[in-house]
Amino acid sequence: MTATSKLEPLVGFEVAVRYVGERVVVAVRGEVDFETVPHLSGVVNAVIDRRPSTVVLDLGGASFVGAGGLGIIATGAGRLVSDGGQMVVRRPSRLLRRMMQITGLSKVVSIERSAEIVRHLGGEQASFDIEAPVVATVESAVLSYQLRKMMAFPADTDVLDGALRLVVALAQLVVQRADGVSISLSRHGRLVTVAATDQTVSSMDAGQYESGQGPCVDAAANGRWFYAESLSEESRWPDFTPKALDLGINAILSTPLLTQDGPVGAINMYSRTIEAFADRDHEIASTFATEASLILSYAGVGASEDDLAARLAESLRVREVIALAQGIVMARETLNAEEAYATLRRFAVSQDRTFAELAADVVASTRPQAQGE
Amino acid sequence: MAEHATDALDRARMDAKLTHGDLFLRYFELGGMSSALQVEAFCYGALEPNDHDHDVVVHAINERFSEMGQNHPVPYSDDS
Repeated sequence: MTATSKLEPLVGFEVAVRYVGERVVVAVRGEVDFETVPHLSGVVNAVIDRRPSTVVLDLGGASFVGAGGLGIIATGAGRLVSDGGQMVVRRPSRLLRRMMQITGLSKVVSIERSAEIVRHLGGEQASFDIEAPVVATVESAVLSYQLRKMMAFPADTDVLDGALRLVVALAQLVVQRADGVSISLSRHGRLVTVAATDQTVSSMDAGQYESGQGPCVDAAANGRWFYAESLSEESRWPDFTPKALDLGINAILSTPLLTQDGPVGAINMYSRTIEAFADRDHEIASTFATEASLILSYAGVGASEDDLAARLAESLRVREVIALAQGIVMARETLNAEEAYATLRRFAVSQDRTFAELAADVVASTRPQAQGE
Repeated sequence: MAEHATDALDRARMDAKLTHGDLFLRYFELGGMSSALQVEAFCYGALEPNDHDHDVVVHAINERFSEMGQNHPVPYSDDS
C-alpha cells in the first residue's frame, strides 16, 4: 500500500497525493482559481522538495484551471527539470492544453491526455475516483463563466486596455485556428486598434482602415458580423484583399462590438487557414464580443475618467466573487448556473443582504476556519 | 418564456431613481451578460429578457430600493 495524504481545506476542492516509487501523483478535484492556487502550489512544492523523479499532476477532476494553475505547472516543471526530473500533466482540458502550447510549456511538460492511460496505470491513480471529468469545454455558457473569472485582475492604471488585451489573448487561446485577434474601436470617427495579439494583426487592421474596406470596417459600421472564409475568392474588398493575402492571411471573421451608442468597433480573428472558422467559432467570437462590449459599455456609462479604472476593477471583482459563489452552489447543490444564481438571490433577499455580501460569504464559507454558511 | 410586465420595469427604475446607466452598472456588477443597450430595451419592453436576465435586472433595481429602505418591491419571475 502506498502512502496517501488527503487534504480538504476548501469545500469542493481536493488534492490527493500518492507516492509510487520515484513517481508522485498529485490529483486535483475542483477549481484551480485564485482561492485554491496557494494551497495547490504549497502541496506541489512540498512534493517537489522530496526530489521525486516525476510528478504527475492529474487535472482530470479539475473543473477549471486559471492562469494561476498554469503558473504552478511552469514553476513546478522548472524546479523538476533543473534537478533532472520531469513533470507530467495528465488529462488537462483542451483550453489548458492550448494555453500550454502557446506559452511554450508543452515543450518542457509531458501531457497525458486519455483516460486509457490512467486506467492502464490504474495502480498509481491517486486515491479518490474521478469519474467522467468535467472538462472545461468551449461551450459558450461555460466559456462566459470562465471568462468572467479570468477577467478579474488587480486595479491598475490601464484597466480598460488591460481588460481588452486579455479578451484578445483569451480569444486566441480558445479559437484554435485564430492566428491573431484584435479589437478595433471607433474613436473620434476613425477606427483604431486598441488591442492586438501581434504586429501582423495590427497591420491587417491598419490596411483595412486605410482602404476603408474589409470585414472589420464593415462589421464596425453595420453592427453585424462579416466573414471572409477564403480571401482568394473574395470580391467584396478588392483594395484590401491583396494586402491580406500578401501577409499570408486567408480567412477573417469580424464580429461587431455593440454598446448603448450602437456599433463601436469589432473583434477581428485572422487565420492563415482557408475556411478556418466554423459555426462554433462564430458563437465563441460573439461571446468575446459581448464581454468586450460590456466592458466598453461600462467605460462609456456614468463613471468619469478618473473614476473608471477603480470602479471597473471593483465591478469586475464583484462579478468574479458572484461567479465563484455561483460555481460553489452549482457544485454543492448540483444546479445549473441560472438555478444556482436564483438560489443565491432568494437567499440574499430573505436575509435582507446584498447579493455581493452573500456571495462573499459563500466564498468565505469554503475556507477551513469558517462556520458553516 | 414568462410574461414580464416590462414597462413596469422602467417605471420601477425611475421610482428607484436610477438612470439607465446606473442600472446597467449595477446589472453588470451582479454578473449580467447583456449589453447596456439590451438592458435599456428590457426596461422599455422592446426586448423580452429571459427569466434569468429579467431577475438580474429586477434585483439590481430592488437592491437600490433596499438602500432606500424598501423591501424588494419589484417581483421576480419565480414570485407567486
